[in-house]
Amino acid sequence: MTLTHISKTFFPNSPKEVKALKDINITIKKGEFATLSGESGSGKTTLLNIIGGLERPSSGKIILDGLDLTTLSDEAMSDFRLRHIGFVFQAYNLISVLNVRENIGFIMRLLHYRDKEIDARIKELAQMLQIENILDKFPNQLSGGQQQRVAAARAVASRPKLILADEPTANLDSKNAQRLMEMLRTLNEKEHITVLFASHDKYVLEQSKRIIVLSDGAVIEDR
Amino acid sequence: MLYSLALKNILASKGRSITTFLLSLFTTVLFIVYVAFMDGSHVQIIQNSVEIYTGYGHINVKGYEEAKDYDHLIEDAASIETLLGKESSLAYFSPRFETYALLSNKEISIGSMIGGIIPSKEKNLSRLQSALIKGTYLDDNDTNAVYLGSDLAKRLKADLGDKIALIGSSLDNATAADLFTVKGIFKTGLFEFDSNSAFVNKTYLDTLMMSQNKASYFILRFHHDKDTFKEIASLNQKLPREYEALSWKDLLSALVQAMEVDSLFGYLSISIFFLVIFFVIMIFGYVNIYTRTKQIGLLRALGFTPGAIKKLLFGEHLILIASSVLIGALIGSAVSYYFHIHPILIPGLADMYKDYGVVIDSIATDFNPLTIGWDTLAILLLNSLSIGYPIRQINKLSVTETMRYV
Repeated sequence: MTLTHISKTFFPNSPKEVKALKDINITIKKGEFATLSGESGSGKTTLLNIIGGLERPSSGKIILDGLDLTTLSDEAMSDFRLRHIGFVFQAYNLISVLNVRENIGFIMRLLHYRDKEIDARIKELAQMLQIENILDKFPNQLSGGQQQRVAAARAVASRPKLILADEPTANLDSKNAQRLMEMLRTLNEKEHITVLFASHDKYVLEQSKRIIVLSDGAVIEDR
Repeated sequence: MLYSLALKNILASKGRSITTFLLSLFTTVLFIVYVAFMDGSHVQIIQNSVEIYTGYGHINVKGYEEAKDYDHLIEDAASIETLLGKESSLAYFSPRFETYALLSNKEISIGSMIGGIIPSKEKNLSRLQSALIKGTYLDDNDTNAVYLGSDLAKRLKADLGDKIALIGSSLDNATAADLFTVKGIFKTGLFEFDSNSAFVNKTYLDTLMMSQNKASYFILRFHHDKDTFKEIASLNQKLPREYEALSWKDLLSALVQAMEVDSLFGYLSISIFFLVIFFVIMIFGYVNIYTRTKQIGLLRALGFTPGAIKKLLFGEHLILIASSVLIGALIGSAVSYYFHIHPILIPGLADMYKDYGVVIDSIATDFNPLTIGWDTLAILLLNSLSIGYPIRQINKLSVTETMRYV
């Protein structure tokens, strides 16, 4: 994925105008395990949202497999997200009316996978994340750590090309944060899924193979 | 998947779902029963007007209905009688001669409609005989006997056995005058009719008015009342050019129009109530959707298109609305049917609304499955549309805006 001259301005031409991103140029290769880092307000979540198609840039291009994502319609972008991107959010964001099993299989069902395939994948991920015993529980019956593992399982279930994780460890204790990072790293290594974090958590940064540091909407370091 | 998620969302917010369900159910039942009563009262008024005297159909010379004068009489009633005798669709028919004359009793004189009827035939064509309240009904051999409307008798201060003078104009433009004895008094409940009508045996009236073998019109009744319009159309094809067959809708066009206007006002009145219900359901939908904004944002982030969100939210609403409207339609139909079979008795109703043609102290519904079907469809459509605006508004928000929503 190549990002060229990406800028994002909120409330343009108004007194409230905020330049959140300024001329970002980065390339993320397949199978990377990278982190967008920086202080609060540096623009890392905005950049992650733009990469995930949740937000549109004010200018610039995002090229993936020759396709410029910024030219896609809302409908096409939604479909692209469904097929190619998995999200792990800071606030877990599980669907409250669905149980753990249904949450994990949710995207696979939307993609019309067969029941057998879905069940097998849920079983495989539940074992990997040690959540077999909570599959029939609902989100409000789970701890924060359990919810984040379920959210991670949902994100990877359909084997997307890219997983975007926004501050995934922010609400977790160190043990759960470690467990989550291990799981994502395993998936990255085993299934060659590209993982991109937005985080300033030291532990996440230590685990990352690449760190892109943002400050005031611009990339100041890429190592 | 969408259906299952929609169902789970409905069950997750039970309070709001039950309120929406009940509102929609209540609206449907009310609408169906209201319309059934409104139509019922109209059917009752029209049916009374038709069956008491006017009849389901007439044959007259073209122009008679507008002029109602001697220049538009049927000149050869016997030939029309022969023609009608060959009509297999007709159950009964009879000639009538109508004129206006002065009726006098002692010092009181009142202008009235005088109807010449063949008493034995009228039994099957109108409710004149069954409306008798005093004395006896006319018979085919009566000569100087008059059958008076109850309110006309009151105005004339006449009672059974009293001699009433009739002064009118015969067909040769001479004065026609005779004395008639009050043989019977009738009360149909139609106030105007009861206070302005008197009937005598047509055979005798013809000798007085020089109207032998003439008639103002023939009153008709077909084997099946519901076939009236079809049979009237068919009769019009067969009649000589100077005659026309008219249905009760033509004969009572003013009343039919009045009922239509009344229906329109009835629908307008209840539509104000529905507008309120529409907005209440819309507000409930609005609140329901906005409390779930974050979930909707999440679904968008996970790959739901705005179209899929629309389908999901509309599906949820439709499940609630369709089930409540369907159950409401069944309850409304049952209530309408019950009051169709068992009219509500309201003592004094006929007296209070006598000017409007109400002749009995009860109100019945008109149980018409087609009307109920249309009513149901209208409510379903209206209630379904109430969610359109909230869905439109939520889909206007961007994914990140909805995700941030708390």
